[in-house]
Amino acid sequence: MKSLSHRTFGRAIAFALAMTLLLTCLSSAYATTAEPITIKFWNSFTGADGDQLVELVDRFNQTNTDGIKVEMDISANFADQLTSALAAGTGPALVLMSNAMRYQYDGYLQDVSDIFTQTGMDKSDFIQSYLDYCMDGSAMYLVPFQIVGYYLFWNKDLFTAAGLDPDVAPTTWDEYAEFAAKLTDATKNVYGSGLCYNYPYQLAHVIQRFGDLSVTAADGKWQANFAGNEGYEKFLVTFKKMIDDGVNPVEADTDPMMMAGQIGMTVSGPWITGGLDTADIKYGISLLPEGEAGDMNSVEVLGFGVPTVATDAEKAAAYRFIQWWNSEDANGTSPALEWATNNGFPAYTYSVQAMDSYQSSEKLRITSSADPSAPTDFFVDSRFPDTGIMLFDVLAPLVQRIVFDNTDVATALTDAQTIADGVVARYNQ
Amino acid sequence: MMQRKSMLSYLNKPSRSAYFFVAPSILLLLVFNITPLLASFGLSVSDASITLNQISFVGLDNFTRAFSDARFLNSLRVTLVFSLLEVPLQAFGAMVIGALMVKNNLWNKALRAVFFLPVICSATVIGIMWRMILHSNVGIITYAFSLLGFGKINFMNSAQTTIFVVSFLSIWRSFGISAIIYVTAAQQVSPSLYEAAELDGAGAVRQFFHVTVPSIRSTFWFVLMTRFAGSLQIFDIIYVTTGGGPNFTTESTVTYVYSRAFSSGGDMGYASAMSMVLFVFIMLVTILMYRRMIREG
Amino acid sequence: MSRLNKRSIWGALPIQLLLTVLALLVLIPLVWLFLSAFKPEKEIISWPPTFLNRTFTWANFDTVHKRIDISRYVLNSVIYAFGTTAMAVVINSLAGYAYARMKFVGKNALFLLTLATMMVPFQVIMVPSFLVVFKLGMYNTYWGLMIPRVAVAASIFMMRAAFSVIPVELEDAARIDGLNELGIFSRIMVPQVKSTLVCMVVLSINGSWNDLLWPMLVATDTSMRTLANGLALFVGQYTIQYGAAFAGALISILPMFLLYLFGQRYFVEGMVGSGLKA
Repeated sequence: MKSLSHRTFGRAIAFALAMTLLLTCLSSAYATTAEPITIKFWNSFTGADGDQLVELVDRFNQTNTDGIKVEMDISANFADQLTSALAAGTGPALVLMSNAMRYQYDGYLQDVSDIFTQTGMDKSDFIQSYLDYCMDGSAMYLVPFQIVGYYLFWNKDLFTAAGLDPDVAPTTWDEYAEFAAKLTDATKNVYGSGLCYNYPYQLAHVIQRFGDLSVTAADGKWQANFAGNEGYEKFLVTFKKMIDDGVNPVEADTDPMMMAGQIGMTVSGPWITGGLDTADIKYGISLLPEGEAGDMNSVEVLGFGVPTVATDAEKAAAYRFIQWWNSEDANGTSPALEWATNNGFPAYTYSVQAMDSYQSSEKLRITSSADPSAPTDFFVDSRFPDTGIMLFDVLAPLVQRIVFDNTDVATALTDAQTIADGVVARYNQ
Repeated sequence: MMQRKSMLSYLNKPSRSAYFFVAPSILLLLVFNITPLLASFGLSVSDASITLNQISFVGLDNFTRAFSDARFLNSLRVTLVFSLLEVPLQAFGAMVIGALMVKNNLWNKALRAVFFLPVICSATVIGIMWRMILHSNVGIITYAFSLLGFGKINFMNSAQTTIFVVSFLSIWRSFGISAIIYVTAAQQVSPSLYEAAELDGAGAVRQFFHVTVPSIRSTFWFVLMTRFAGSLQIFDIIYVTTGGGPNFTTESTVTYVYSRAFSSGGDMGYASAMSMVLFVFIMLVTILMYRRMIREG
Repeated sequence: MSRLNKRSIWGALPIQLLLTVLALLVLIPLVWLFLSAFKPEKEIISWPPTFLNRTFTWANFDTVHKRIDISRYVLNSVIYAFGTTAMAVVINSLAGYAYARMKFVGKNALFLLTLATMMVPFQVIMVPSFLVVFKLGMYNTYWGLMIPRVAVAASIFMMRAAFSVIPVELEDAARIDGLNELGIFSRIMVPQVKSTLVCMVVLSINGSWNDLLWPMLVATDTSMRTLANGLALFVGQYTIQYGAAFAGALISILPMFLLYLFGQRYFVEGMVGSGLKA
C-alpha cells in the first residue's frame, strides 16, 4: 500500500516534470504530455546477469507511459568507453558503477540527492549504511543498485566425504583452516580451501576479518595499518601454511575448480551460485566467519549514477527509471526484488527485504543476514578515495611476495606499509 | 589536351608523384596517430587524470619517478625477456617454416590454413581457452601431462615458468602471420633464380640460403622490425591470461602502463611518461635497424 | 621437371614430421575449443576433464542466438572490416610503393615518421585518439570507426618490402612503353605483388574483425555494435559462460576462415617470372 501511493506520487512528479519540460523545450513543437526521450544507460554487466538486465530494461521501455526509452549498452570495456566519452564531454545519462570507482570520475557525476524529493522514493526505506557509501557530505552521487558482499561457499558432498557435517560451516578462521585440512584429499585432487593469491577482492574480505581496515582516519589524517598488524600477520601465516601443506592451491582462478567439485570451501560473491547450480554442485552459503577484528558487513555498493553530461530532461528520465526499478507492480514484485532473487545479492531497502519471495529464498536470507548496522567498510575506511590502489598495489603484491618469494611475513608487511604510506600521503596533502 | 599532357608529364617525374603516393597515408597518420602521439608526449610531462580534465605541468617528475619505480623496471625486464624469446622465433623460425610451405600443393595449403587459425581467433577467446586447458587443477593439458607421468605442472601460476608459457602462447597466436607473410614473399621470388641455381647444382638447402633468403631480405626486415615493435608492446595475450601475475613475473611494460592509467590510480601523466620511455627505446632500435636495412639496399 | 624432383627434397620425411607436429600443437587446443562449444557447461568444467564429448548439445549456440543480434552485429563487422580494408589497400600500397621504388627528398624522414606510429601502445593514445575523432564530428559514425584505421604503418612497411624486390627492368620497360607513374604502379607493379596484397587484405579484414577496443570507444551506439564486442559479453566481470563464449568464437571464426581459404587461392607462385615472359 505504501509503495503504491509512492508510485502515484512519483507519477504526479513525473507529470509535473514533463510539463516543465514542455515549457522549457520551446524548440519541439510536437511535444505531448509525455515528451519522448531516449537516454543512454551504460554499464559493465556482461555475463549471465546481463541477460536479466536486458529483459528488465526492455520491460521498462514497453510499459512506461512517459515516452522514455532506455537504450542500454552493456560493455566489456565500460571503463575505457566511459573515460574517453567523458574526456570529450559526451557520454550516457545513466551509468552503473561501484562506490570505489566513483572517485576516479570525481567531478563527472551529478548530485542525485534530490531523487527522493523528485520521485517520491522513500529515503528512509534505504538501509542507511549502504546509502552512506554513496554520499559525500550532503551530496549523493550514486543510488544503490546492488550490494556486493563476499560469503563462504562450501561443497556439501566433500564435507560429507571428509566426515564433516554438510550443513555446518566453520564459524571461526581457525576452524576454517582445520576443516580445509580435513577436506583436502590429494589422491582425488581435492583442495580444502580455494583462496586465490591474485584475487585482492577476495583476500581483502578475509584479511580484514583478521586485522581490520588497512586505511583508517586518525586525527583528521589517513593512516595505513600494515606494519605490525598482528591480524594481517596471522592471516598471511595461515594462508602460506595452507599453500605449503597443499590445502590451498597456488592458483589465480579457483572458480572452475569449485564448479568441478574439487574445492571444499571458498570465499566468493553470489554470482558463483549460477555456475554451481549449472554444475549440480550441492553447496552451502554462510556469512564469512567473524575474526578478531569483530563483526563486519563489508560490502561494495554498486549504484546508479547520472553523469554531468546528462541534461535536466535526461536526468529526470533517469530518475524515472531508477524509481521504476524500486517500485512494486500490481503483482507485488519489483525489478529490484527480481534482481535480488535471481542473483542472490542482498537488497538495499527494508521493503524488499521484507517481501515474501525474498524471505523464502534461502540464499538471500543468508546473504542479508549480516547485521546492517555492523561496519560496511571494505578494506579501507569507506570515505578513503582509492580502494583500488590499496587492493592492487599494496595487498596483491604483499600476498604474492609471501607466496612466491617466501618473504618473511613481518618484512613483507613493513614493505607494504612503506608503499601504503606513499599512497596515503597523497590524500593527506 | 595540352594541359592533360603536361599534367601527366609532371606526374611522371617519380620524385614529384612520390608525394602524391605518400600524401594520403601521411595525412591520415598525422591526424589520427601523430597528433595523439604528441598529446601523449605532452601528458608525459604533466600530472593528468584519465579523463584529462585536470592537467598541470610537472616537468620531468614522471620520468624520475619511473626510473625509481621497481615495478616499472621489472616490467622493462619482463618485456625484454618476451622480446628475446619471441622475435628470433618469429623472424628466423617463421622464415624456415614459411619456406617449407611455399609450394601450393594441397598439403601445404592445409598446413598454412592450420597455422593461420590462431590468428583469426579473438584474443578474449584465446585467453579463456588457454586458461582453461592449462588450469593447474582442471585443465585438460595439465591432466594429460599428469597421466603421462609428468606430475602436476602449474603452467599459469609459477614464478619461474609462467613467463615461458605466456611467451609460447604469444608465439602460438601470431606465428602464423609471420610464416604466411614469408610464404607470400617467397612466392614472389622469380622461378628463374631457382632454375639458375639448379643449373649450378645447388641443393635445396643451398637454394634456400642463396636464393630464397637474399630475395626475401626486405620481408625479413619487415618481420623483424614489426615483430620487435610489437613484442615490446606485448599486452593482449598477457591481459587475457595472467594479467601480469604471478607476482608480476609476466607484467610487461604496457600491461603495467594500462593498469596505472585505468585500473587503479587513473594516472594518465605517469602512464604516458612510461610509454615515452618505451617509445624512445623502440624508436632507437628501429632507427638502427632501419639504417642497416637501407645500407643493405 | 628436375626442379620439381630436387625441390621435393623439401618434402623429406623429417621435415614433414616437424611441420605435422607444429600443426598439431596449433590444432589440438582449437579442436578442444570446437568440441567444447558443443558440450554442456557442466562438462566443459569437470573433473576429470574430457576431450571428446560425453554429451552433444546445441544449447550454447542457442544462448548466443538469444543473447545477441547476430545478423546486425555481423553486418556492422562486415562494414567496418571491409570498408576499412578497401581504403587501406589503396592508400597503404601507394605509400609502400613510393617508399620502395621512388626517390624523393624526405623519404627516410617520412618513412620513419610512419614507423614511429607503430611504436606507441594504443592504450596510451587511446583517449587522445578518441578526442580527435570526436572533435572531427565522427563520433558514432561508420566513418569515425574506419578512417582512423585506414593508414597502418605495418601495412605500408609490408607493401614496401614486397615492391622493393621487383626487378628494375620491368619498370624500365613500362616507362619506355610510355606509362606514367600511376600506370606503372597499377598495371605493372601491383600484379607482381598479388600474394602480398591478398595477404594484407586478409590480415586487415581479420584485424578489424577481431578489434575490440576501438569500435567500443568510437561507436557506442548499440546499433553499431560489432560481432567481436557482442561476443565479449559472454565473458562477465565475475563469471564466464564458457560454452557460449566458445560457440560465439566458432561463429566468429568461420567467416574469417572461409575468407582465408578464398584468399589463399590467389597466393600464386613466381609471378615475377611469368610477368617478364609476358
